[in-house]
Amino acid sequence: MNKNPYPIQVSQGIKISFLNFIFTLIIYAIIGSIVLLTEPNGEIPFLILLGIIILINSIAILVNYLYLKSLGYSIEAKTFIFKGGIISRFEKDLPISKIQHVILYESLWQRLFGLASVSFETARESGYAQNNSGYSYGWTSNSKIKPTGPLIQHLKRADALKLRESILNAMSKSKSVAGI
Amino acid sequence: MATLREKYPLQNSKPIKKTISGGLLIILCFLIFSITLFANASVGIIRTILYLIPLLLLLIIICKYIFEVYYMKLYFYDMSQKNLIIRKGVFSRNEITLPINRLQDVYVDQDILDRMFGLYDVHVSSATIISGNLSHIDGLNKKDAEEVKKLILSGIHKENE
Repeated sequence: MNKNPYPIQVSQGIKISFLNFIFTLIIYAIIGSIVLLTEPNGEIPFLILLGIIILINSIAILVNYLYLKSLGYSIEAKTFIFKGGIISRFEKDLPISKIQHVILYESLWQRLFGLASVSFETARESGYAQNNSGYSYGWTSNSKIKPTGPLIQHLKRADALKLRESILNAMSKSKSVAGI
Repeated sequence: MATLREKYPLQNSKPIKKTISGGLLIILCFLIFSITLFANASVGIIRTILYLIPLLLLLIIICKYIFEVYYMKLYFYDMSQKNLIIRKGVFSRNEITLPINRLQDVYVDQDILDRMFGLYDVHVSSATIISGNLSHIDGLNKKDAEEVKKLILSGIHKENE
């Protein structure tokens, strides 16, 4: 098994998490300043909330680092293997013939760092999709896109494109079964 | 060879439609917010800030329109023999590649604002919910929507032969 044929850029991913944290702090500082203009005695609650935000974000960055370090994936002849996890671990083995589509994600921060994420799903993922809020014909949900299949985050953009092509090539060699 | 985007382009009225649909909600939220705050505001500075709300609204709507123009400019879709590709987004970008042999359905629909502007949305999906959310080409005219639908369907039928 060739683990992570295209390496995950863990340090860049952590930089992105840190930038999100700074952005949150800036927004909080702006809102807090406006509130403090009208509530001069609100300094202590402001500082307590600031401390909570810093603590939660610090833990989130640490968890994100450990999670990215734990991720491993490989493309075998007929199967895509995706594993990882910090405390509880998972391993997904997806037959390539069952993959439905491939998505390339580039968030704003990823674009600044030249990174992208690749995700794909089998029909199984649909049953656990968290972004569905009543999808039916004639009405589309605009809720936030949240992939539920394997998400290989923070690859270099060129590597993400190569990974996508590898998966698509492997998919084209396999036929869909029972129309799926 | 021309891409699907070039052969069947999105209509220029799409940014206007999107601005109105997004703008209505912004206006409603701000009206509720400002009425509530104004009724309870006892500090002079708050009242002053609230007088600036209509200007802020206008600025938001202008920004929304500019965003929608760029969104339409960067909206890309193409179909090869094997795959349908749809790419969207201004700041963060998503690109979905659907193998034609995995497509489950194609349909065309219009919401109420689409009907006012004569726009049609073409939706495709594989057997996943997320593809249903991402894989649509919205803002075509009637003729182009029908042509795109037929093209995708013929691709699906060819794959099944």
